[in-house]
Amino acid sequence: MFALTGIEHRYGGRLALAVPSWRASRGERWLLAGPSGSGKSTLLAVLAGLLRPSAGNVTVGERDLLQLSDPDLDRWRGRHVGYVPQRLHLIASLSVLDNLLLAPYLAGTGTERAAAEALLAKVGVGELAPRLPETLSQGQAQRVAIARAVINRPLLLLADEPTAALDDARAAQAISLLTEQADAVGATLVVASHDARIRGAFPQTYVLPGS
Amino acid sequence: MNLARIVLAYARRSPLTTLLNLALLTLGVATITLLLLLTTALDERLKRDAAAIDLVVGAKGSPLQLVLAGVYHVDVPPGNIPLGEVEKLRADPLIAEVVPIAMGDSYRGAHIVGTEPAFLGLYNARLAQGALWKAPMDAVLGADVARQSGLAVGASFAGSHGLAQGGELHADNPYRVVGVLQSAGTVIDRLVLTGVESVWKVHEHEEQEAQEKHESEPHAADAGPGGREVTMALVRYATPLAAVSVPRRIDSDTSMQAASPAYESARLFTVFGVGTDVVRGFAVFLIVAAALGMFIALYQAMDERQYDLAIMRALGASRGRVCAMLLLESIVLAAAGAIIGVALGHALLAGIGAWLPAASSLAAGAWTLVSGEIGVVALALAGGILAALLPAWRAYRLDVAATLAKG
Repeated sequence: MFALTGIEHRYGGRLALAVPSWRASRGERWLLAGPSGSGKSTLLAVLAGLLRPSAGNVTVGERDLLQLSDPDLDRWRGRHVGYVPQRLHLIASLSVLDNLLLAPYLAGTGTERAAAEALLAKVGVGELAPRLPETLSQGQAQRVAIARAVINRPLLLLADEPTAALDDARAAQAISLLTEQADAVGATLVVASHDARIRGAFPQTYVLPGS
Repeated sequence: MNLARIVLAYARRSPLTTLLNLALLTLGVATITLLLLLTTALDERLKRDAAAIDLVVGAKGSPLQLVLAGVYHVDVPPGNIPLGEVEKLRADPLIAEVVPIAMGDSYRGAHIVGTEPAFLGLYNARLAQGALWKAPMDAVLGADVARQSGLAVGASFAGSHGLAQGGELHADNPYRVVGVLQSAGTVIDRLVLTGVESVWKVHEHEEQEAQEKHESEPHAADAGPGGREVTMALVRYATPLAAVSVPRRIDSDTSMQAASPAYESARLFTVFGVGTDVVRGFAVFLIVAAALGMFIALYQAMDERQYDLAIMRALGASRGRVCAMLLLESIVLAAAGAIIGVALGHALLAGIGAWLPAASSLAAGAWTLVSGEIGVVALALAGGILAALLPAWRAYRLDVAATLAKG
């Protein structure tokens, strides 16, 4: 599904990320582990096509990402990557439903309003569709952000520290929602986290060594 | 989901800032539009009133006063000239037409002008009812005078002495309305026309009274000791070449002076043009202030917006697309301000016309667009684009991965 080889990324000369080799198959669930500052977020950005590493090869699906032009990479990312950032970043001026519809709009895939409403119901926040994000609880906002990440049926579902601010019960719920939704669309799931509580939920783990 | 929905959502997010900038822009555009319409209407008005008159000949004094009194009827004439000298002008081959006018009285503020039927031709006027004057004391009313006074053919009225309202009434020599003119959209609408003889007749009588009282005051068109006098003569050239020699000859060879309406009204326009330039500068300042306000609002919002823009990039929007979104937001606001402002400018002029009867003729074209308005709209749009350039550049350069991670 994806293959990373010889990845290195430097910020101002300092080596921030080194991934000699990492391969994953379609539908697998991976935990990307490692201490803070080991480059987990950077690696997720590389996988998402948000960051071009200083060296190495990134293949996702059949695509060699680093061969794509900037606009092509943007378009590819919109279609094939679902990304749940740590801070969620729902757009405050748009309703929950519009936040969801923004993803197919920007990716250029036509998704119907009814499908978006059904997806919200499926992740358990159907009644929140007309509300503004600032009126949601952290857990509700996370469900909306996960729905936004899967609405385009991506190849790759990425989540950055999804359990950092949650208690045990909610952390388990968040992980099960992510795995459920990844399975529902047939996406490969990669969760970057240093949270020991969730290790058991992932058959596969890639560990980034601390610097 | 569409672009308009996103742009509107952001405008609604900070309604006060949006409305304030919209209001500033609207006021600036409305002020420029109003000025543009007024100066255009005034310029057209001045040109139309003087369209057929190449030269005004009258007593020596201020040439501007001659034109203001003789063509636009907004000032008192400087004095009288001998009819004999005016008659001599008719013999000049360079001159096509000479129309003498005699003034001195008014009716409800409208100048009573003693003249010849050719006067109507100078202003493109036609009779709506009745006939032209034949006998002394026959009067033909301009359309506005007839409408405001309610006088019709067959009615009679007394003129009052002097060209301002409130003069002594010439009750013993009443005028008889024999005709009413169609509205011509020129100054003739606000005049009462009669034969030169009528003016002489009214003032002969007065002269006698004055002599009886041993008073002597200079007044309007009169039978002075040197023969008949008129106030001015309006002259139409036979050839444009006449402009070179005729005015100079009148100024040097006769006791009269010649003034060109085109030249004098252009001079007048440059004088109060300074005033309109100041107001126009102020309006441009308002538009610049609005653009600056839009820039500050957009730029400040960028600190918060960068996360939204980063997530949009993560969701597949290209650099160009997020830039375009910011630009569009600003342009939409500027366009709204421009359209509302232009409409407001027109509405203000229509309102002024409805409110002030004196300005009603200027407001007649309140709803026609003038070419300068394209420039005003372009200025507002340019302001909108400039305001968004720097924020758009920031959006273009946004480091998506770092922004999302630091969130």
